[in-house]
Amino acid sequence: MRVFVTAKGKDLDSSVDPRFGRAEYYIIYDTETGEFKAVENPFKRGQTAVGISLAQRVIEEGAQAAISGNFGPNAFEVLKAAGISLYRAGGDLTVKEALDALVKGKLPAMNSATPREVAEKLEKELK
Amino acid sequence: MIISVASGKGGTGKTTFSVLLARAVAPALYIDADVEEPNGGIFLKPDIEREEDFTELVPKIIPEKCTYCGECARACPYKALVIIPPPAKKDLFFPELCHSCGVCAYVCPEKGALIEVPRKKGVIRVGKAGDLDFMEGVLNIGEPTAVPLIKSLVKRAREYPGDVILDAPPGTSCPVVEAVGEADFVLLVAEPTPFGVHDLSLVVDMVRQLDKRFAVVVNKAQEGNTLVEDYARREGIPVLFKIPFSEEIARMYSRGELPFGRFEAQLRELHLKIKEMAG
Repeated sequence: MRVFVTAKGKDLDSSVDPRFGRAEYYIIYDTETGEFKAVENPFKRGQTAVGISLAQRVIEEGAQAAISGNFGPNAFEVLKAAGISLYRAGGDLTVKEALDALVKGKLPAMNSATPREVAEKLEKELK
Repeated sequence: MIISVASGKGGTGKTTFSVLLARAVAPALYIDADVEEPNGGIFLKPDIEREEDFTELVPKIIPEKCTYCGECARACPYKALVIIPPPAKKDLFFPELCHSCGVCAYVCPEKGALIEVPRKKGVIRVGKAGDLDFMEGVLNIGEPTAVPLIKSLVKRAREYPGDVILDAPPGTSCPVVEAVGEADFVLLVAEPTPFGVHDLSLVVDMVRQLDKRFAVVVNKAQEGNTLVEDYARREGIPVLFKIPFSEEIARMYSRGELPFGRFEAQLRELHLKIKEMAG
């Protein structure tokens, strides 16, 4: 299974980036082979529709699951329509820890988008 | 002749001045092109005779004909379309991101797979306030851009046989450029504060780049405060009118009233002067 994870850095010891559309990097991890690649998020400084753009990238990368701290309403709609399983990695989990938790079935699934007020609070904290 | 009334800063008195001027020079047409927050009607109290839907074309995918190749979504500069390829075969449209540019329909390689359908984005209300013709655009909340609706209002301004007073949105961005683009003369309303003068200088830059004839109107003018006049003199811009700072006007304004009679004669003179200056 190919898993898409938003990350603050380029390796598996980086923290999961709590933002989806404006994440610094994303990591594609193959749970069968253990291989991964890190890509700088080309949309992170975009003006609008960054969530939709990155969600399309998840589809193009052929991922079956996506892990992030939050998913906005538009990104959530796109990813759900594409049948991609969404998981939330809160706190200070590294990408590796989040992937381990996913494989062990311990990562909570996201069944709805992050409410706007929560996302705005997070955005303030990060600044 | 179209006189657009603009200001760099919001809340400086564009509408106050526009409706005073329109009322004084009637018969004429007043157009409220501040379509995200039109409020000229509050003071002019027009009888609205008709309301026309303002629509623009947006894409619609016909599932039986679509191959879900994704060309449309890749071409969309606003990411308003998402195509999920087979086997899922789904399409998502985000209307609040769509600018109705039509590129999706242009690039679609399958005949009839993507059609364009009208979508209501606002209304244009048309009426009369005594001998003054009245028109206002009202944009639906959440629409990405006011420009197309303003363009439609400006087209009507051009077609009007008499004089038009066009109340523009505030600022210096695309909707304002659209609202002053066809004007024969632009009046810039400013209040005598450091903020007011700063934002006036921005809109002066804009009208200069658009190569417009223009002048300044001071609102809330106070004895001994020459901030706007000093700036205008340095820049060689005429100051053509002043509305005094007055508690009485503020009180009237808060009730949706304005002292129309008080400035009528002066504003008619101003109108003649503008006609001369516009050539």
